[in-house]
Amino acid sequence: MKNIFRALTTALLAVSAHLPSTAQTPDKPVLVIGVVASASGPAAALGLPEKKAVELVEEMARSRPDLPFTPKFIYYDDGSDPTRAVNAVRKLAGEDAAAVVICCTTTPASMAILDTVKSLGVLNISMASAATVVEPVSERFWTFKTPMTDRMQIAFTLDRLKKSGARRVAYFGLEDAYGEAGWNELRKMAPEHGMQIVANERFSRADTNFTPQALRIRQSGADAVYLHAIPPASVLAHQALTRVGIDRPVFHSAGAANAGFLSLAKGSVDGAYVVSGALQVHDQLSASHPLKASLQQFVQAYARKYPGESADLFAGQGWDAGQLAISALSSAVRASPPGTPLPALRASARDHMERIRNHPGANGIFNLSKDDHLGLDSVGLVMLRVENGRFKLLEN
Amino acid sequence: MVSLDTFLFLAVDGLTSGAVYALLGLGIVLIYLVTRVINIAHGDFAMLAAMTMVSLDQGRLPGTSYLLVAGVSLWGMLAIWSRRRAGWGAMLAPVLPTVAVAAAAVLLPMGLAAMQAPAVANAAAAVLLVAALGPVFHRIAIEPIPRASVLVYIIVTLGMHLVLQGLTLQLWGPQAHSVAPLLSGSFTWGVVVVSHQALLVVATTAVLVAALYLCFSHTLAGKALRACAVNRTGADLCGIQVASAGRRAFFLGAGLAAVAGVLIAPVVGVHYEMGFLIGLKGFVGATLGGLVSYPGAILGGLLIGSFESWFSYLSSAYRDALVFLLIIPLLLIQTARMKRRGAVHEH
Repeated sequence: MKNIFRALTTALLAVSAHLPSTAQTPDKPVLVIGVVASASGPAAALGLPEKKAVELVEEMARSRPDLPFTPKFIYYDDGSDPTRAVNAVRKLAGEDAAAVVICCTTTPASMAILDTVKSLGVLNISMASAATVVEPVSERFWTFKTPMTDRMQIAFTLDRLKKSGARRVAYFGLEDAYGEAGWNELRKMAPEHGMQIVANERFSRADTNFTPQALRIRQSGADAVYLHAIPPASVLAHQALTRVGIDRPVFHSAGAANAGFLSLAKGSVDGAYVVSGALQVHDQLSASHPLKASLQQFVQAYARKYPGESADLFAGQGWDAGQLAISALSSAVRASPPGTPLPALRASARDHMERIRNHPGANGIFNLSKDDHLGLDSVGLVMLRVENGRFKLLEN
Repeated sequence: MVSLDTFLFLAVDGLTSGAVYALLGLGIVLIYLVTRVINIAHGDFAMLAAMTMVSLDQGRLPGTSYLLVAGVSLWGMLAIWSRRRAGWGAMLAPVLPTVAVAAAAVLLPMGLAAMQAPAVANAAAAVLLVAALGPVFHRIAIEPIPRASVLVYIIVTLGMHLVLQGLTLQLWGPQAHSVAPLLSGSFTWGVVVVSHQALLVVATTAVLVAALYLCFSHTLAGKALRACAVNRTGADLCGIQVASAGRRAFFLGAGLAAVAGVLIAPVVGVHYEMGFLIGLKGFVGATLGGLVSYPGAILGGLLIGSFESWFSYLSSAYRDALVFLLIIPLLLIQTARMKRRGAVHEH
């Protein structure tokens, strides 16, 4: 009897000891990638697609035999609240022993965790838009980010404006943080592009009437209007310009490069120019476009995993952040001897992040370096024109 | 220098938004006169009507129906509780009207959706649903604290504004919606493009003002409301139920705001935050008549609309600040007028 018991116990022990090693190759370490996205709260419209895209990255990484480690993703929701983001990052770095952190959806949260990731010594990839998240780079040693900045989009737009022959441009924007950021960049860069700003008119989300400002712009004699706003204000402002009879080209910021802009406009913004990421019109890109293949891969994988949904700009942030995290961590694991302690591995992941070159993502081609923690050029930007209520890609 | 067509554009736009502020101001004055409540949540009725219109146009059950069902049920339960010592028969009496109103709140939108009703019918239904919310608002937020000070009521309605805005965010989501205009198209008047919708806004306001005047001077219910406004105790002694007068005032006030919301929605789009600001501008307009004069509220609303139009043209960054700054000269004019009459405002 006792013998049988002992035999059974031994067998059970053997089985249980054997289980984990059959589940994964024994020499692959499991490394945690922590994700903090705003799945609820005001920024949920951004955070949810980001989280979904990272989940897609996770699913695809699991079936990749070439990775030198097994990624394990842990997700937290900061509820669009910077304080909760800081707590989540602390928890990820402490309890969960995350090797890399992807945080956060919003700019305020990404700014709030700057000191946290610095003191914890862990690589963070932010999905927030403001350039200050990674600038000045000397003070943002541990922080990287994926979205294009306003500056790059405005510089791209100014180039196009110049090519179209415009010299006098009117600024028409929201009077909030978004509009102010756009105004500051335009004010700085317009002279460098040989442009003169002849009007600066503002409106707010709650306005009932945009015509007075449009009249001012008409009076300023501008060659073109730069409209820096998000729907619905961007649509109403554009309609007001049409109403007072401005026949000059209207250039919209990337805040208008979304389906909401078109559906609210109902055909009333035909002829508008919109700067956008290439993702928005991935199906219209020529086969020779450097991002065509990678965007196609992302969009198709996303549509397969989430039937009926299409990958938007924010999903693109999650996709890029997840892929960059895996890429940096792979290089770090390959370069470090087995059994490297976590802090050293984190430092190595950060160093290898700065060495990522020619990484095609949803936002563009990433060329990260010691001096550039965003690493994008204008390859990922395109100029669109609204025709018959649809975005049409303009070829140069 | 301002050219003629710029001037005309500004005048037409000022008149259009002014008409909307006038409707809101009228409702605020009406409610204040009858109940002594300065309704901070007044603009939210306009916002709810616009939101309801969005849902009805999409053929969906609007969140207003949920609000009405919940509010009316609460009202019914309060009525049953207050009759708990009066026997079963009396206790069951409020059940039928409660169920009837709640059923109507759900069946009306469903019926419109089934019939694929035209936009005008949807607009009328939206106004009716939101107007019905007015008495519910009064029963739930105001009646439990009768004869409170004006300040207490302001705080209560501020709380209700936050509640309504939060519920709207939950029920309709944070995104902005657009509504097709009731009258599409526009005509050109000289160089100025005037949309038919803008004409509709001004015309509807004029008709409503006339209807309200006739109602107050020629019907018993209207006279009762005026009596409550002049002297509550006296009205009470004459057999006018002050609580039910308050409900009627809220019904009319919310209905006027709802009309404003339905009219302005196609022009500016709809989002859950829009209520507070337009309500506040209606309030500033109403202060021109010292919150006690209907012509004052109409004139004030039109003035606010025109000033807003001009301020946006002169300095777009400060237009709201300038509009709200207007309340200071308006109050000074009020005080000067009072002093001249030698009257002291009792409130």
